[in-house]
Amino acid sequence: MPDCSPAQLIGYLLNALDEEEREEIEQELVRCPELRKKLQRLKRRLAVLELGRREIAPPPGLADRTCQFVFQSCGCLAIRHTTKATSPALPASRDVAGFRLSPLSDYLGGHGANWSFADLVVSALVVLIVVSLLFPALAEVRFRSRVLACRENYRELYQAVHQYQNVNALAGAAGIAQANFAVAKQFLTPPLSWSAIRRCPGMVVESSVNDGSRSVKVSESWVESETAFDREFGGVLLGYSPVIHTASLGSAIPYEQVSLAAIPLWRDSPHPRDCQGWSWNHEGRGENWLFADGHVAFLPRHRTNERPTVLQAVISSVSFTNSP
Amino acid sequence: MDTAPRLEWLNHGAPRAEWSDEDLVREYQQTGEPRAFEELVRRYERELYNYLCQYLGDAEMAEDAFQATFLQVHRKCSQFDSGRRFRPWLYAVATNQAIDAQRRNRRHRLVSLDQQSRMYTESHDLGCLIDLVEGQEMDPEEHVELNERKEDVRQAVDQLPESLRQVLLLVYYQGMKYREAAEVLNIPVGTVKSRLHTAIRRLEYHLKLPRSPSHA
Repeated sequence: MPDCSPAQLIGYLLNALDEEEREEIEQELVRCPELRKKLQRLKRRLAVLELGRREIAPPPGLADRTCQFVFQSCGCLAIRHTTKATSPALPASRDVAGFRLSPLSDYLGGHGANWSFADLVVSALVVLIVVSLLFPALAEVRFRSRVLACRENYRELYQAVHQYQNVNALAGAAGIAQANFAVAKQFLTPPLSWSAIRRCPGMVVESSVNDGSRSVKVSESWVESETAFDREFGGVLLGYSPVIHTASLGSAIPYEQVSLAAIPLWRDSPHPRDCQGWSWNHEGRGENWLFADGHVAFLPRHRTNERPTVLQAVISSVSFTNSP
Repeated sequence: MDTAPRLEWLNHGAPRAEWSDEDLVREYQQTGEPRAFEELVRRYERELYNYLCQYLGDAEMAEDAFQATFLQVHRKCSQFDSGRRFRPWLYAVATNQAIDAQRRNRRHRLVSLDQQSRMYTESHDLGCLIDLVEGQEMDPEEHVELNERKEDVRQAVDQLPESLRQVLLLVYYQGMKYREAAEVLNIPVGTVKSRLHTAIRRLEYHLKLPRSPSHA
Protein backbone atom coordinates (compact mmCIF):
# COMPACT_ATOMS: atom_id res chain seq x y z
CA MET A 1 0.00 0.00 0.00
CA PRO A 2 1.67 3.25 -1.06
CA ASP A 3 1.95 6.19 1.28
CA CYS A 4 -0.80 8.61 0.22
CA SER A 5 -0.57 10.98 3.15
CA PRO A 6 -1.14 14.70 2.51
CA ALA A 7 2.59 15.38 2.83
CA GLN A 8 3.24 12.74 0.20
CA LEU A 9 0.56 14.16 -2.11
CA ILE A 10 2.00 17.65 -1.67
CA GLY A 11 5.37 16.22 -2.57
CA TYR A 12 3.82 14.60 -5.64
CA LEU A 13 2.30 17.89 -6.77
CA LEU A 14 5.52 19.80 -6.18
CA ASN A 15 7.62 17.10 -7.84
CA ALA A 16 9.49 16.67 -4.58
CA LEU A 17 9.27 12.88 -4.45
CA ASP A 18 11.79 10.34 -5.59
CA GLU A 19 11.02 8.45 -8.77
CA GLU A 20 9.85 5.30 -6.99
CA GLU A 21 7.48 7.15 -4.70
CA ARG A 22 6.15 9.08 -7.65
CA GLU A 23 5.42 5.94 -9.60
CA GLU A 24 3.68 4.38 -6.63
CA ILE A 25 1.36 7.36 -6.27
CA GLU A 26 0.64 7.44 -9.99
CA GLN A 27 -0.36 3.80 -9.87
CA GLU A 28 -2.59 4.50 -6.93
CA LEU A 29 -4.14 7.47 -8.73
CA VAL A 30 -5.06 5.26 -11.65
CA ARG A 31 -6.69 2.83 -9.27
CA CYS A 32 -8.41 5.22 -6.88
CA PRO A 33 -10.76 8.00 -8.13
CA GLU A 34 -11.18 9.38 -4.62
CA LEU A 35 -7.46 10.04 -4.43
CA ARG A 36 -7.64 11.87 -7.75
CA LYS A 37 -10.31 14.20 -6.38
CA LYS A 38 -8.32 14.72 -3.25
CA LEU A 39 -5.28 15.58 -5.32
CA GLN A 40 -7.25 18.08 -7.41
CA ARG A 41 -8.51 19.87 -4.32
CA LEU A 42 -5.01 20.02 -2.89
CA LYS A 43 -3.67 21.34 -6.18
CA ARG A 44 -6.14 24.22 -6.16
CA ARG A 45 -5.16 25.13 -2.62
CA LEU A 46 -1.47 24.96 -3.26
CA ALA A 47 -1.91 27.21 -6.27
CA VAL A 48 -2.75 30.07 -3.93
CA LEU A 49 0.77 29.92 -2.56
CA GLU A 50 2.01 30.72 -6.02
CA LEU A 51 0.90 34.28 -5.33
CA GLY A 52 3.69 34.50 -2.75
CA ARG A 53 6.41 33.75 -5.24
CA ARG A 54 8.82 36.64 -5.70
CA GLU A 55 10.80 36.81 -8.84
CA ILE A 56 13.43 39.41 -8.27
CA ALA A 57 16.01 40.09 -10.89
CA PRO A 58 19.52 40.11 -9.44
CA PRO A 59 21.29 43.46 -9.58
CA PRO A 60 23.31 43.91 -12.76
CA GLY A 61 26.83 42.55 -12.59
CA LEU A 62 26.24 40.49 -9.44
CA ALA A 63 28.04 37.45 -10.81
CA ASP A 64 31.05 39.49 -11.93
CA ARG A 65 31.24 41.34 -8.64
CA THR A 66 30.99 38.07 -6.78
CA CYS A 67 33.82 36.48 -8.76
CA GLN A 68 35.98 39.53 -8.26
CA PHE A 69 35.19 39.57 -4.53
CA VAL A 70 36.02 35.90 -4.15
CA PHE A 71 39.26 36.01 -6.10
CA GLN A 72 40.42 39.20 -4.39
CA SER A 73 39.52 37.95 -0.94
CA CYS A 74 41.47 34.79 -1.45
CA GLY A 75 44.48 36.50 -2.87
CA CYS A 76 43.93 35.18 -6.39
CA LEU A 77 44.77 38.52 -7.91
CA ALA A 78 45.43 37.10 -11.34
CA ILE A 79 41.85 37.15 -12.47
CA ARG A 80 42.02 36.08 -16.00
CA HIS A 81 38.45 36.13 -17.08
CA THR A 82 36.45 38.41 -14.81
CA THR A 83 36.89 41.84 -16.16
CA LYS A 84 33.47 43.35 -16.39
CA ALA A 85 33.10 44.33 -12.76
CA THR A 86 33.03 48.02 -12.17
CA SER A 87 32.57 48.48 -8.44
CA PRO A 88 34.92 46.86 -5.94
CA ALA A 89 33.29 44.80 -3.24
CA LEU A 90 35.25 46.36 -0.39
CA PRO A 91 36.54 49.86 0.15
CA ALA A 92 40.27 50.08 -0.35
CA SER A 93 40.82 52.51 2.47
CA ARG A 94 38.96 54.76 4.83
CA ASP A 95 39.43 58.07 6.56
CA VAL A 96 39.70 58.18 10.31
CA ALA A 97 40.20 61.52 12.01
CA GLY A 98 41.78 63.00 8.96
CA PHE A 99 44.20 60.12 8.41
CA ARG A 100 43.85 57.83 5.49
CA LEU A 101 44.13 54.33 6.83
CA SER A 102 44.39 51.12 4.92
CA PRO A 103 42.34 48.20 6.16
CA LEU A 104 44.31 45.94 8.45
CA SER A 105 43.28 43.08 6.24
CA ASP A 106 45.65 44.51 3.63
CA TYR A 107 48.51 43.87 5.99
CA LEU A 108 47.32 40.60 7.40
CA GLY A 109 46.22 39.15 4.10
CA GLY A 110 42.77 38.39 5.47
CA HIS A 111 39.47 39.47 4.06
CA GLY A 112 36.44 41.29 5.20
CA ALA A 113 37.77 42.20 8.66
CA ASN A 114 38.38 45.79 7.57
CA TRP A 115 40.41 46.63 10.67
CA SER A 116 42.68 49.59 10.68
CA PHE A 117 45.85 50.23 12.64
CA ALA A 118 43.87 52.58 14.82
CA ASP A 119 41.60 49.66 15.76
CA LEU A 120 44.62 47.52 16.51
CA VAL A 121 46.27 50.17 18.69
CA VAL A 122 43.10 50.80 20.66
CA SER A 123 42.56 47.07 21.18
CA ALA A 124 46.15 46.59 22.30
CA LEU A 125 45.83 49.46 24.76
CA VAL A 126 42.68 48.02 26.23
CA VAL A 127 44.35 44.64 26.65
CA LEU A 128 47.38 46.26 28.30
CA ILE A 129 45.23 48.18 30.75
CA VAL A 130 43.31 45.07 31.71
CA VAL A 131 46.52 43.09 32.18
CA SER A 132 48.11 45.84 34.28
CA LEU A 133 45.05 45.88 36.51
CA LEU A 134 45.01 42.14 36.91
CA PHE A 135 48.74 41.55 37.36
CA PRO A 136 49.24 42.90 40.92
CA ALA A 137 46.23 41.00 42.14
CA LEU A 138 47.48 37.80 40.57
CA ALA A 139 50.99 38.31 41.94
CA GLU A 140 49.61 38.88 45.42
CA VAL A 141 47.57 35.69 45.29
CA ARG A 142 50.58 33.75 44.02
CA PHE A 143 52.75 35.14 46.79
CA ARG A 144 50.27 34.21 49.49
CA SER A 145 49.84 30.69 48.20
CA ARG A 146 53.58 30.12 48.08
CA VAL A 147 54.05 31.37 51.63
CA LEU A 148 51.29 29.10 52.76
CA ALA A 149 52.81 26.14 50.96
CA CYS A 150 56.24 26.76 52.57
CA ARG A 151 54.68 27.12 55.94
CA GLU A 152 52.86 23.83 55.66
CA ASN A 153 56.01 22.05 54.57
CA TYR A 154 57.81 23.29 57.63
CA ARG A 155 55.06 22.33 59.97
CA GLU A 156 55.21 18.80 58.69
CA LEU A 157 58.96 18.64 59.11
CA TYR A 158 58.74 19.94 62.60
CA GLN A 159 56.08 17.42 63.48
CA ALA A 160 58.13 14.60 62.04
CA VAL A 161 61.19 15.51 64.07
CA HIS A 162 59.13 16.10 67.16
CA GLN A 163 57.47 12.73 66.89
CA TYR A 164 60.80 11.05 66.49
CA GLN A 165 62.06 12.87 69.50
CA ASN A 166 59.05 11.88 71.59
CA VAL A 167 59.31 8.28 70.57
CA ASN A 168 62.92 8.21 71.60
CA ALA A 169 62.26 10.16 74.81
CA LEU A 170 64.85 12.69 73.98
CA ALA A 171 63.16 15.85 75.06
CA GLY A 172 65.39 18.78 75.68
CA ALA A 173 65.10 22.21 77.15
CA ALA A 174 64.42 23.91 73.85
CA GLY A 175 62.06 21.33 72.49
CA ILE A 176 64.66 19.70 70.35
CA ALA A 177 67.36 18.17 72.43
CA GLN A 178 70.87 17.30 71.68
CA ALA A 179 69.72 13.90 70.59
CA ASN A 180 67.57 15.61 68.07
CA PHE A 181 70.70 16.75 66.49
CA ALA A 182 71.63 13.15 66.00
CA VAL A 183 68.14 12.53 64.73
CA ALA A 184 68.56 15.28 62.27
CA LYS A 185 71.81 13.79 61.17
CA GLN A 186 70.08 10.53 60.44
CA PHE A 187 67.29 12.38 58.94
CA LEU A 188 69.32 14.40 56.55
CA THR A 189 72.65 13.05 55.57
CA PRO A 190 75.51 13.82 55.28
CA PRO A 191 76.32 14.19 58.98
CA LEU A 192 76.53 17.63 60.42
CA SER A 193 79.34 19.36 62.11
CA TRP A 194 79.19 21.31 65.31
CA SER A 195 79.73 24.44 63.39
CA ALA A 196 76.26 24.04 62.02
CA ILE A 197 74.55 24.55 65.33
CA ARG A 198 72.37 27.57 65.15
CA ARG A 199 71.01 30.00 67.62
CA CYS A 200 69.40 33.32 67.62
CA PRO A 201 71.47 36.04 66.03
CA GLY A 202 73.40 38.26 68.29
CA MET A 203 72.93 36.06 71.31
CA VAL A 204 75.72 35.96 73.80
CA VAL A 205 75.44 33.38 76.46
CA GLU A 206 77.48 33.12 79.52
CA SER A 207 76.63 30.27 81.71
CA SER A 208 78.18 28.71 84.66
CA VAL A 209 77.55 25.33 86.06
CA ASN A 210 78.58 24.01 89.33
CA ASP A 211 78.71 20.25 89.29
CA GLY A 212 79.71 20.04 92.89
CA SER A 213 83.37 19.69 92.42
CA ARG A 214 84.08 22.52 90.12
CA SER A 215 82.33 25.34 88.36
CA VAL A 216 82.51 25.87 84.67
CA LYS A 217 81.91 29.15 83.00
CA VAL A 218 81.25 29.17 79.31
CA SER A 219 81.13 32.33 77.30
CA GLU A 220 79.55 31.85 73.95
CA SER A 221 78.82 34.27 71.15
CA TRP A 222 77.02 33.75 67.88
CA VAL A 223 78.31 35.05 64.67
CA GLU A 224 77.04 34.92 61.15
CA SER A 225 78.97 32.93 58.64
CA GLU A 226 78.41 31.06 55.51
CA THR A 227 79.22 27.43 55.74
CA ALA A 228 79.32 24.44 53.53
CA PHE A 229 76.36 23.21 55.46
CA ASP A 230 74.22 25.95 54.11
CA ARG A 231 75.09 25.09 50.59
CA GLU A 232 74.63 21.41 51.10
CA PHE A 233 71.23 21.66 52.63
CA GLY A 234 69.90 24.64 50.78
CA GLY A 235 69.93 26.75 53.89
CA VAL A 236 67.86 24.58 56.12
CA LEU A 237 68.77 25.16 59.71
CA LEU A 238 68.85 21.76 61.10
CA GLY A 239 69.06 22.09 64.75
CA TYR A 240 69.52 24.06 67.81
CA SER A 241 70.99 22.33 70.70
CA PRO A 242 70.66 24.00 74.04
CA VAL A 243 72.96 21.42 75.46
CA ILE A 244 76.59 21.37 74.54
CA HIS A 245 78.86 18.51 75.11
CA THR A 246 82.42 19.01 75.85
CA ALA A 247 84.60 16.07 76.11
CA SER A 248 86.75 17.80 78.58
CA LEU A 249 83.89 18.38 80.95
CA GLY A 250 82.45 14.96 80.50
CA SER A 251 78.94 16.13 81.21
CA ALA A 252 76.30 18.25 79.71
CA ILE A 253 76.17 21.89 80.55
CA PRO A 254 72.67 23.27 80.32
CA TYR A 255 72.48 26.74 78.97
CA GLU A 256 70.10 29.27 80.28
CA GLN A 257 66.62 28.94 78.99
CA VAL A 258 65.60 31.16 76.17
CA SER A 259 62.22 31.76 74.73
CA LEU A 260 61.41 28.92 72.39
CA ALA A 261 59.43 31.24 70.20
CA ALA A 262 62.62 33.21 69.52
CA ILE A 263 64.80 30.29 68.56
CA PRO A 264 64.82 29.57 64.87
CA LEU A 265 65.30 25.97 64.00
CA TRP A 266 64.87 25.76 60.29
CA ARG A 267 64.41 28.14 57.48
CA ASP A 268 64.17 27.87 53.75
CA SER A 269 66.92 29.20 51.60
CA PRO A 270 66.79 32.91 51.03
CA HIS A 271 69.34 32.94 48.27
CA PRO A 272 68.71 31.89 44.69
CA ARG A 273 72.02 30.07 44.66
CA ASP A 274 70.89 27.89 47.51
CA CYS A 275 67.59 27.25 45.89
CA GLN A 276 69.16 25.17 43.15
CA GLY A 277 67.41 21.88 43.11
CA TRP A 278 65.07 23.00 45.82
CA SER A 279 61.86 21.18 45.34
CA TRP A 280 59.62 23.06 47.69
CA ASN A 281 57.56 25.88 46.48
CA HIS A 282 59.81 28.61 47.72
CA GLU A 283 58.76 32.23 47.77
CA GLY A 284 61.76 34.36 46.85
CA ARG A 285 60.78 37.54 48.61
CA GLY A 286 61.57 36.22 52.06
CA GLU A 287 61.95 33.10 54.09
CA ASN A 288 59.84 30.84 56.16
CA TRP A 289 61.25 30.24 59.58
CA LEU A 290 60.38 27.41 61.88
CA PHE A 291 60.86 28.30 65.50
CA ALA A 292 61.56 25.99 68.36
CA ASP A 293 58.04 26.31 69.74
CA GLY A 294 56.69 24.94 66.49
CA HIS A 295 55.36 28.12 64.94
CA VAL A 296 56.29 29.10 61.44
CA ALA A 297 56.60 32.68 60.30
CA PHE A 298 57.26 34.15 56.93
CA LEU A 299 59.91 36.81 57.27
CA PRO A 300 60.37 39.25 54.40
CA ARG A 301 63.81 39.56 52.92
CA HIS A 302 64.64 42.85 54.61
CA ARG A 303 64.23 41.20 58.00
CA THR A 304 66.43 38.25 57.24
CA ASN A 305 69.20 40.14 55.43
CA GLU A 306 69.95 39.82 51.80
CA ARG A 307 72.87 37.54 52.32
CA PRO A 308 72.25 33.95 53.28
CA THR A 309 73.48 33.70 56.77
CA VAL A 310 74.33 30.88 59.01
CA LEU A 311 74.68 31.46 62.63
CA GLN A 312 77.60 29.78 64.14
CA ALA A 313 78.32 29.38 67.75
CA VAL A 314 81.78 30.30 68.80
CA ILE A 315 82.78 29.33 72.24
CA SER A 316 85.03 32.10 73.18
CA SER A 317 86.08 30.98 76.59
CA VAL A 318 85.71 28.15 78.95
CA SER A 319 87.04 28.56 82.42
CA PHE A 320 87.15 26.07 85.20
CA THR A 321 87.19 26.83 88.81
CA ASN A 322 87.71 24.11 91.29
CA SER A 323 85.18 24.17 94.00
CA PRO A 324 86.46 24.82 97.36
CA MET B 1 47.59 14.46 -13.82
CA ASP B 2 45.68 17.22 -15.62
CA THR B 3 42.04 16.30 -15.28
CA ALA B 4 40.63 19.14 -17.33
CA PRO B 5 41.15 17.40 -20.68
CA ARG B 6 39.60 14.26 -19.24
CA LEU B 7 36.57 16.25 -18.09
CA GLU B 8 36.35 17.87 -21.47
CA TRP B 9 36.55 14.48 -23.06
CA LEU B 10 33.82 13.20 -20.75
CA ASN B 11 31.72 16.17 -21.76
CA HIS B 12 32.39 15.42 -25.44
CA GLY B 13 34.24 18.69 -25.86
CA ALA B 14 31.11 20.65 -24.99
CA PRO B 15 31.50 24.22 -23.75
CA ARG B 16 31.46 24.66 -20.02
CA ALA B 17 27.98 26.11 -20.12
CA GLU B 18 26.77 22.60 -20.94
CA TRP B 19 28.72 20.82 -18.26
CA SER B 20 27.02 19.54 -15.16
CA ASP B 21 27.50 21.44 -11.90
CA GLU B 22 29.43 18.53 -10.47
CA ASP B 23 31.86 18.49 -13.38
CA LEU B 24 32.46 22.20 -13.03
CA VAL B 25 33.16 21.85 -9.30
CA ARG B 26 35.45 18.93 -9.97
CA GLU B 27 37.39 20.95 -12.49
CA TYR B 28 37.66 23.89 -10.13
CA GLN B 29 38.73 21.57 -7.30
CA GLN B 30 41.45 20.00 -9.36
CA THR B 31 42.73 22.79 -11.57
CA GLY B 32 41.48 26.00 -9.94
CA GLU B 33 40.19 27.08 -13.34
CA PRO B 34 38.38 30.40 -12.72
CA ARG B 35 36.09 29.91 -15.70
CA ALA B 36 34.54 26.89 -14.03
CA PHE B 37 33.84 28.93 -10.92
CA GLU B 38 32.44 31.82 -12.94
CA GLU B 39 30.15 29.46 -14.80
CA LEU B 40 28.76 28.18 -11.50
CA VAL B 41 28.21 31.72 -10.20
CA ARG B 42 26.39 32.73 -13.37
CA ARG B 43 24.35 29.56 -13.42
CA TYR B 44 23.04 30.14 -9.90
CA GLU B 45 22.99 33.93 -9.97
CA ARG B 46 19.27 34.36 -10.41
CA GLU B 47 18.05 31.29 -8.56
CA LEU B 48 20.20 31.69 -5.47
CA TYR B 49 19.76 35.44 -5.28
CA ASN B 50 16.00 34.94 -5.35
CA TYR B 51 16.20 32.36 -2.63
CA LEU B 52 18.33 34.59 -0.44
CA CYS B 53 16.08 37.58 -1.08
CA GLN B 54 13.09 35.56 -0.08
CA TYR B 55 14.90 34.14 2.94
CA LEU B 56 16.31 37.42 4.21
CA GLY B 57 13.72 39.86 2.95
CA ASP B 58 16.42 42.39 2.18
CA ALA B 59 18.15 42.94 -1.14
CA GLU B 60 21.45 44.22 0.29
CA MET B 61 21.73 41.41 2.80
CA ALA B 62 20.86 38.95 0.05
CA GLU B 63 23.67 40.28 -2.13
CA ASP B 64 26.16 40.06 0.73
CA ALA B 65 25.02 36.55 1.53
CA PHE B 66 25.28 35.61 -2.13
CA GLN B 67 28.90 36.76 -2.26
CA ALA B 68 29.69 35.10 1.06
CA THR B 69 28.15 31.88 -0.20
CA PHE B 70 30.43 31.70 -3.19
CA LEU B 71 33.39 32.69 -1.08
CA GLN B 72 32.63 29.65 1.05
CA VAL B 73 32.21 27.52 -2.05
CA HIS B 74 35.65 28.65 -3.17
CA ARG B 75 37.20 27.93 0.22
CA LYS B 76 35.47 24.65 0.94
CA CYS B 77 35.28 23.20 -2.52
CA SER B 78 38.04 20.79 -1.59
CA GLN B 79 35.63 19.34 0.98
CA PHE B 80 32.91 18.78 -1.59
CA ASP B 81 32.25 15.11 -2.04
CA SER B 82 32.16 14.50 -5.75
CA GLY B 83 29.67 11.68 -5.21
CA ARG B 84 27.07 14.16 -4.00
CA ARG B 85 25.01 16.65 -5.94
CA PHE B 86 26.21 20.23 -6.01
CA ARG B 87 22.87 22.03 -5.77
CA PRO B 88 21.88 20.84 -2.27
CA TRP B 89 25.41 21.51 -1.05
CA LEU B 90 25.29 25.04 -2.46
CA TYR B 91 21.92 25.66 -0.86
CA ALA B 92 23.20 24.34 2.46
CA VAL B 93 26.08 26.82 2.29
CA ALA B 94 23.72 29.62 1.26
CA THR B 95 21.27 28.81 4.05
CA ASN B 96 24.06 28.91 6.60
CA GLN B 97 25.23 32.23 5.24
CA ALA B 98 21.70 33.58 5.40
CA ILE B 99 21.37 32.44 9.01
CA ASP B 100 24.69 34.10 9.84
CA ALA B 101 23.56 37.29 8.14
CA GLN B 102 20.37 37.26 10.17
CA ARG B 103 22.33 36.77 13.37
CA ARG B 104 24.64 39.63 12.51
CA ASN B 105 21.71 41.84 11.86
CA ARG B 106 20.07 41.63 15.26
CA ARG B 107 17.11 43.59 14.20
CA HIS B 108 16.64 41.59 11.07
CA ARG B 109 12.99 41.01 11.70
CA LEU B 110 12.16 44.65 12.14
CA VAL B 111 14.37 45.70 9.31
CA SER B 112 13.09 43.06 6.97
CA LEU B 113 9.51 44.04 7.57
CA ASP B 114 10.48 47.60 6.98
CA GLN B 115 12.68 46.98 4.00
CA GLN B 116 10.49 44.46 2.40
CA SER B 117 8.27 47.12 1.01
CA ARG B 118 11.35 48.99 -0.25
CA MET B 119 12.92 45.92 -1.72
CA TYR B 120 9.91 44.93 -3.66
CA THR B 121 9.15 48.35 -4.93
CA GLU B 122 11.13 47.75 -8.07
CA SER B 123 9.81 44.30 -8.68
CA HIS B 124 6.39 45.49 -7.72
CA ASP B 125 6.65 48.22 -10.28
CA LEU B 126 7.69 45.63 -12.78
CA GLY B 127 4.88 43.40 -11.62
CA CYS B 128 2.44 46.24 -11.96
CA LEU B 129 3.56 46.85 -15.49
CA ILE B 130 3.17 43.23 -16.33
CA ASP B 131 -0.18 43.20 -14.63
CA LEU B 132 -1.12 46.28 -16.57
CA VAL B 133 -0.20 44.56 -19.79
CA GLU B 134 -1.84 41.33 -18.78
CA GLY B 135 -4.74 42.90 -17.06
CA GLN B 136 -5.94 45.16 -19.75
CA GLU B 137 -9.05 43.09 -19.73
CA MET B 138 -8.84 42.81 -15.93
CA ASP B 139 -11.19 44.80 -13.82
CA PRO B 140 -9.19 47.44 -11.82
CA GLU B 141 -10.91 46.22 -8.67
CA GLU B 142 -9.83 42.67 -9.38
CA HIS B 143 -6.34 43.93 -10.03
CA VAL B 144 -6.13 45.64 -6.67
CA GLU B 145 -7.59 42.63 -4.99
CA LEU B 146 -5.03 40.34 -6.62
CA ASN B 147 -2.17 42.54 -5.45
CA GLU B 148 -3.55 42.57 -1.94
CA ARG B 149 -3.86 38.84 -2.05
CA LYS B 150 -0.24 38.48 -3.17
CA GLU B 151 0.91 40.70 -0.33
CA ASP B 152 -1.16 38.70 2.14
CA VAL B 153 0.45 35.45 1.03
CA ARG B 154 3.95 36.91 1.17
CA GLN B 155 3.40 38.29 4.62
CA ALA B 156 1.94 35.00 5.79
CA VAL B 157 5.01 33.18 4.47
CA ASP B 158 7.34 35.67 6.15
CA GLN B 159 5.58 35.22 9.45
CA LEU B 160 6.04 31.46 9.50
CA PRO B 161 8.53 30.10 12.02
CA GLU B 162 12.04 29.79 10.66
CA SER B 163 12.06 25.99 10.44
CA LEU B 164 8.79 25.86 8.49
CA ARG B 165 9.70 28.76 6.24
CA GLN B 166 13.02 27.15 5.31
CA VAL B 167 11.27 24.00 4.12
CA LEU B 168 8.59 25.92 2.27
CA LEU B 169 11.14 28.09 0.47
CA LEU B 170 13.27 25.14 -0.54
CA VAL B 171 10.58 22.71 -1.60
CA TYR B 172 7.81 24.95 -2.87
CA TYR B 173 9.59 28.03 -4.16
CA GLN B 174 12.96 26.55 -5.12
CA GLY B 175 11.50 23.30 -6.41
CA MET B 176 13.74 20.99 -4.44
CA LYS B 177 12.98 17.37 -3.78
CA TYR B 178 12.28 16.30 -0.23
CA ARG B 179 15.54 14.43 -0.15
CA GLU B 180 17.52 17.45 -1.30
CA ALA B 181 15.86 19.77 1.19
CA ALA B 182 16.65 17.27 3.93
CA GLU B 183 20.27 17.31 2.80
CA VAL B 184 20.37 21.11 2.78
CA LEU B 185 18.90 21.44 6.24
CA ASN B 186 20.58 18.34 7.59
CA ILE B 187 17.35 16.86 8.90
CA PRO B 188 15.49 13.62 8.13
CA VAL B 189 13.25 13.44 5.06
CA GLY B 190 10.26 12.68 7.27
CA THR B 191 10.83 15.93 9.15
CA VAL B 192 10.89 17.86 5.88
CA LYS B 193 7.56 16.32 4.87
CA SER B 194 5.89 17.04 8.17
CA ARG B 195 7.26 20.58 8.30
CA LEU B 196 6.02 21.34 4.82
CA HIS B 197 2.59 20.00 5.64
CA THR B 198 2.50 22.04 8.84
CA ALA B 199 3.63 25.15 6.97
CA ILE B 200 0.84 24.76 4.42
CA ARG B 201 -1.75 24.20 7.12
CA ARG B 202 -0.62 27.33 8.93
CA LEU B 203 -0.70 29.36 5.75
CA GLU B 204 -4.20 28.09 5.05
CA TYR B 205 -5.20 29.13 8.51
CA HIS B 206 -3.68 32.59 8.17
CA LEU B 207 -5.11 33.13 4.73
CA LYS B 208 -8.48 31.83 5.83
CA LEU B 209 -8.40 29.18 3.18
CA PRO B 210 -10.33 25.94 3.31
CA ARG B 211 -8.35 23.21 5.02
CA SER B 212 -6.25 20.67 3.16
CA PRO B 213 -7.88 17.37 2.11
CA SER B 214 -6.76 15.52 5.22
CA HIS B 215 -9.00 17.79 7.24
CA ALA B 216 -11.65 18.26 4.65
